[in-house]
Amino acid sequence: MKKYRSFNFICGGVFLGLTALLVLWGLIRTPYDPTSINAALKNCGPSLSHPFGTDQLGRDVLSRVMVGARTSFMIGAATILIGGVIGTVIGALAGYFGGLFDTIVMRINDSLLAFPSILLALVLVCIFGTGEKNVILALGILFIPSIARVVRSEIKKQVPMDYVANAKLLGAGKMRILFVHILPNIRATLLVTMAVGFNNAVLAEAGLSYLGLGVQPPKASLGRMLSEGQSYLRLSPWTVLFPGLILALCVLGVTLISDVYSGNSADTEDPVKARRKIRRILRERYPEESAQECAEAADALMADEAESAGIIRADESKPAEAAQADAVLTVKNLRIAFASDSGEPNEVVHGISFGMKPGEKLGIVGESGSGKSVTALSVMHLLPEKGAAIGDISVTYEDEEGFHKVDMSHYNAKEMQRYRGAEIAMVFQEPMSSLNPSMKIRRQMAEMLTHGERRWTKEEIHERLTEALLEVDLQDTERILSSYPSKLSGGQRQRIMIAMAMINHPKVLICDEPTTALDAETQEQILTLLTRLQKKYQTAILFISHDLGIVKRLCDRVMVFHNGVVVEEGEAEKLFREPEDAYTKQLIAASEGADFAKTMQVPEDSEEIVKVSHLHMAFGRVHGLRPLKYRTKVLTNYNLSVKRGEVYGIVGRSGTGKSTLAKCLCGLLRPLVGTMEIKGNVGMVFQDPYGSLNPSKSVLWLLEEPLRIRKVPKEERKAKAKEMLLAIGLPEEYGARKITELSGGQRQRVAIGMALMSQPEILVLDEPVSALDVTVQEQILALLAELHNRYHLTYIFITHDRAVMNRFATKIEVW
Amino acid sequence: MKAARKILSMAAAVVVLSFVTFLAFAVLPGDAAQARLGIDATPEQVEALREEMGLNDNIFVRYGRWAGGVLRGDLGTSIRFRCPVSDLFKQMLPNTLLLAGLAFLIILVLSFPLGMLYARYPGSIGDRFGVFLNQTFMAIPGFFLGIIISVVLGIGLKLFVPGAFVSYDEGIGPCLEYLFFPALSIALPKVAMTVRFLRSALLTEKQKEYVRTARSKGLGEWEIIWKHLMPNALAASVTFLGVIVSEIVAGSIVIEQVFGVNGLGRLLVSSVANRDYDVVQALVLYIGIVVIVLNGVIETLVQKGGENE
Repeated sequence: MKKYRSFNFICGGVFLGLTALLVLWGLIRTPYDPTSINAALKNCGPSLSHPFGTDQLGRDVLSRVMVGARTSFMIGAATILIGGVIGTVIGALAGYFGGLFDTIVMRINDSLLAFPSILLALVLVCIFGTGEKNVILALGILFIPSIARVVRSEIKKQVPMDYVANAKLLGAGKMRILFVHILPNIRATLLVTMAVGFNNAVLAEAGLSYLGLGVQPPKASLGRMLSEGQSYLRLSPWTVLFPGLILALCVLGVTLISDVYSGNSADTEDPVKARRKIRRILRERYPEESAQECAEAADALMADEAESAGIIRADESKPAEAAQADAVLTVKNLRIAFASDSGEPNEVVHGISFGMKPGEKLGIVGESGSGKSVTALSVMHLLPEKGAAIGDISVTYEDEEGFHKVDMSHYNAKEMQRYRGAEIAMVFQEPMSSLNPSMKIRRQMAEMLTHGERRWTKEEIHERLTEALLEVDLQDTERILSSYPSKLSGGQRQRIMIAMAMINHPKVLICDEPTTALDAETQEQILTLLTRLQKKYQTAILFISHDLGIVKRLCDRVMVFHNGVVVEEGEAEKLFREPEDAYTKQLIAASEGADFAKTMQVPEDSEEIVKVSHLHMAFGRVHGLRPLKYRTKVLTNYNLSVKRGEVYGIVGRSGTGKSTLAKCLCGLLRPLVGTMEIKGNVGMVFQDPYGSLNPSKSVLWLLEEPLRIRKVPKEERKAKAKEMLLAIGLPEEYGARKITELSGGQRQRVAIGMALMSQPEILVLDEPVSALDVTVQEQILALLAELHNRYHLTYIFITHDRAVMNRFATKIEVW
Repeated sequence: MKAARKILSMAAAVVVLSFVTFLAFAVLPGDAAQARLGIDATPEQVEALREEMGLNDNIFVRYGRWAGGVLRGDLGTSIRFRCPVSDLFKQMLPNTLLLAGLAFLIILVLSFPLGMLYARYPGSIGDRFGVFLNQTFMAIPGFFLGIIISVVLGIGLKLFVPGAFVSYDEGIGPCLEYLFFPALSIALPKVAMTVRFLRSALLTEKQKEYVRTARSKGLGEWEIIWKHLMPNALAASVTFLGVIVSEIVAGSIVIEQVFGVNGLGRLLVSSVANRDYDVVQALVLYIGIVVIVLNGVIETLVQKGGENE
């Protein structure tokens, strides 16, 4: 592991090792009796016989440091043991069970934490009295709240995750969920907290002893030695220096090591250097391409020098007649790579070239990981920190002074600032997180108007912002401009993003999945808006989406990305009508989809297996110590009837209570009002396989867990889990893998397998394929169809995706 | 309405705190009467004094009497100094406040620019060295740093005379001049803490998507840090500010001892050692009120800031 080779880890190890050595050595034998007084040796400096010198009473400082460090260590360890164990248990229980217990514990905790710890220690010592045992007791009590608080907040983060719901569903008891499922996932945080606690305890003990309230003489402790030596500072500074040094070394060592685990250390690579390195390696890999690039770079360099000598820069202001016919955006031999743990950069885009004519709408389609988003980001020089690109990117545009060709591939971030937002602008996927939550819309939009020489007055800015908002059909401009993003709807936010991107009338607008986070209706409006603006300003749009339907409607030309290569490119209509490449065909087939509903056998005239009548659900918010208040009604008077063997589809927009119903059906939530008659076991598959499977476990462990809970003997358990592994289409060697090593599709297979292990008759599928890529979606749907027949299951299938529903369900209910 | 409730809950916290403090010291073995008379006193003498001091009354009656006294400004009597505790306060509080204020100022002035600088160039050599330096300063106990500062700056460079403290009433200038050094000892480890916190808060913010949007607008990196990251990071730092304030209080308790500053911290330590309970009780109450009020103010600030999001 790379962790152990890091500078911080080694340094910390050495520091901690040194102090530990001293303590251990002292346990076996100290060079002198640490308490024997020898008047003849008063205040001797460090020498061979007394490496750390002697103190004012002639005692050997080295021996005293050994004993003192031992005392300090012991107190630190004992403190953390008391505080750690009690704190973890209290925090875990408060975090998991919540409610009144949690409120009370946390109130006490918070008020204790607010006080300076040394003050509380002083008070406690004042009450208990001084001495080693009392100090341990006082410090131990002191550290309970801080550890309880960390554990509680970590547990609180884990509890709402789907893997906890999953474990609950499989029948695991509360204590099992808490200690077997959840605690292993917070181990790292717990260790780091303990380390910090140890340090604080050692420092607090030193402080108390320094003040004369901790360990009492003649016993030595590091803090005690510092206070005794301080009066003799001028005479014998070594009596203070060495104990202090050892104390600092120990604490520093623990900090350095724990920082490696908490990810707080700066031991990361310099991103600037990392980028250079990736680019260098890429150029070495593809010498022909880079030779060409180098020649151009040399030209650019010469132009730079020419510019500084007062000569006008050649490639920018010379009217480029050829460019007129050319593309507005040209990308040549673009390669993108990301830093990997092995040191060899991991190439994700392999030499892509394309051009865009002015006013063209170019679509890029492909599954996640195909390199479409990073391609868009690399045009703007906005790749994430560990990524870098080589290749030529140039933008040609016209203004009052004629045509300009800007070669951007050699620009650094600073030079890019002139073009970002002015000539090229971008709209991102998530309009909420893409806007600064703590800044009003007015200021965020106004930041676009800082380009160029012109300084706008306040009135002019206001006028331009209002105009831009009206252009994207936002009428309520005054209110919107003075709002924070959270006060606006998703559609409004995305309109604002578009208004912002278009305010300088850029030549190129890059849209990275701009409609994916929106509901169908809003999607439609945004697409119409984009088309209108594109026509009006003749902006070229680079539109990236995984949704073939949208791209088909919007774009003139389409590129299909697969594993970082363009597998097919052409006129949108023709490409979708007559795809040539095998992958494109697969992609199109997946988006149209096979009709699974026909392949699943539904017995005729079967009995009713699920009957829900007059179901009401509402959510409340616990407010302090007061009882639950119901705030939002989710389901009102809902009735449902499902027959054995059916695939009952429920389709509806997000936020309509579908997931709540799913959780009700499998017993994770209790209905507020109403009755549910369910004949048979219910299993559930959650939407996001990244959240619904415990990340710290292996595939087989997870598959065995439902049987382990039912106390099935080990042999039988293992055999059944292996059988299931094959049934869900995973090779046998995958059993030992950690969940984190699997892809999304593989994870979802495991999730399905896990649900089937408890032999349910009814399976509730809550958006089981929505988080997956289209081709993977098809595979999972096929698997579900196959399992339906094999195990004679009844499915309740919930999704927002109409198309999937039509192909998969035998009966559909629309919300 | 909201403000009234806030004040009411803070007042309740103060009452609870004062009662707990009182209770903790009231149940201690070896009572005030014994302490005042010394070990030679006969049990009869002690009993008589107990009666006279009202120590035999119900705990609530005693608490009421004490609390009433506190409200009138009577904080009790120091056994050791044989004078009202409030007199000791008047004498020492300004020194402590000056020290804490100075330390707070040093923390603000040093940590903000440093935190931003580290967050601008994460992973660079400067950043790595800075982080290492940070960790070192956090590992050094305050009093050891104080000793080092008095050796190097005091004895070595003769910038000040360790131990020759000038109280505020003998001249505010020389007092501040001397206090700069203990304030530095308090501040440096806290500067390290603050820089570390600020750096990681800024780097967390830097990973968010709105930063990418800001870059796509053509803003510079410093502009982004200053205009976009700092306000968001600071909103998260307000709670941390409370921690820092209480850390300064804690640090001053020990540092006053190291530099011989005549302040409340030193008074507290010596009173604990001498079991001068009236003084300890008053000091705990005082520090408690400061902490409760500060945290109340900070909480209000956080809520105000949180309303936007």
